[in-house]
Amino acid sequence: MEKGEIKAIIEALLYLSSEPISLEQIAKAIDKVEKRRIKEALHELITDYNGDNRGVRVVEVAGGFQITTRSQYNRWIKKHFALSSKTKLTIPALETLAIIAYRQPITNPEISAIRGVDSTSVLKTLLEKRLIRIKGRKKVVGRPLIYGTSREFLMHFGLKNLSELPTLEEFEQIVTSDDKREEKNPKVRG
Amino acid sequence: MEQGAGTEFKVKLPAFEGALDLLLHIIHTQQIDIYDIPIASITQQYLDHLNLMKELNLDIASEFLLMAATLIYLKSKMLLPQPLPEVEMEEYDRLRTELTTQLLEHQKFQRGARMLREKEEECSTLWSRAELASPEAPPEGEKVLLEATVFDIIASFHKVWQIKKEEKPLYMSPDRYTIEEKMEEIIERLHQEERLEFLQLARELRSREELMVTFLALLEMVRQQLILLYQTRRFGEILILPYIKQGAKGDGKGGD
Repeated sequence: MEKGEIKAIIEALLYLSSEPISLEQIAKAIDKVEKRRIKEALHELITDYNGDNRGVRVVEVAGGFQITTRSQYNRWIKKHFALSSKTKLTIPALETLAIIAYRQPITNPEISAIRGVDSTSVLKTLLEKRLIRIKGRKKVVGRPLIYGTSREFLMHFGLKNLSELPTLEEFEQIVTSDDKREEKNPKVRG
Repeated sequence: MEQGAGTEFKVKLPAFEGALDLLLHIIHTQQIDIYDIPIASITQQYLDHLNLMKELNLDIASEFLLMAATLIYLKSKMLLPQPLPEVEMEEYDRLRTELTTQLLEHQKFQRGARMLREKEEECSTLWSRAELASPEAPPEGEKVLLEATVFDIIASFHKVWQIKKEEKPLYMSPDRYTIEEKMEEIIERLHQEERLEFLQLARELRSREELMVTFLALLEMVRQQLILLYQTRRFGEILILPYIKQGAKGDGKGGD
């Protein structure tokens, strides 16, 4: 099979799919073609799409590939499809998600200890939004539920996978460098 | 204490989620070195904020008072003649280190939240097919789907209730079930199986008690918008599906 044809098939699959499709899934659909060649075709397709001045592009998200519109055409899309702006999460929700993303699997008491506030209702909202999942129970006294992030979490933030997040060490570095800057540049205390 | 009399804060008070938030806010606005917190001055400012919150009739959660107590305790240690006995010094150091660690940890995740907010922002103007599909649209591949009413559920429930009654009239279950556990179980299964048939689910149950709890769990989950109940035709089989809506508009708060 020619590369052009493989590209066309992948394009068709991506076009129709409402979910990100993984390379494995594509390879399964286009059988009898080496996965290596499919991967090549896919990357060429991505370059084609993302280089041209098109309304859509191919993005890698949540372990798969997906066609999305480009952000500069948001206005017209919203108008035509009568879409309201996407709801943004609140700061407590984002903070809780950050904790879960980095520390999963984690329990409510552990999350609450880091945040310094009870997190039950935030967790409930996040569960309702399917951004987190119950992964089981921790085998300690009281058997608290343990939480982890979901595939929807990756999709909501446009992440390929969890390792795309900056590491906690990087955060610590940001924190320390900020403090250093403050040390070097002492302002008058109030 | 007078508002705005030379102090940093203005009338508009940021909403502090908790004591750590407030403390970090003070640390940042005053450019305090987080590794070397001046306990005396920070305690004073913290209490000033609490007073202001009280004046504004804001509810002061107990965590705020707990933090105040810790700060005042630390401050009191410093007022004692130095050097402190070794035991007290250790206690003082421990509490201080604990506080610093907690603040650093909290700060880290505040930054994490900001990073996520940026990512969310980037994604908020991108649209894909999934988001266009009407949130409450029935899943594809189903002939006709009707949203099941509470009466349909009760009817289905009654049917199984009868079956169970005939099957095991004297079976007494030693197990105890809670609604919470059932909810989890159902959510877990929905993650794996995408959908459940109510009747099939009910048939697997061992006792009427479990059935009862399952029924209540289902109702609770519908209320909390965790699941949707559908039928392929009126009075037909009830399907349990995960709620797919990601909060399109104004449903962020949920039931209560």
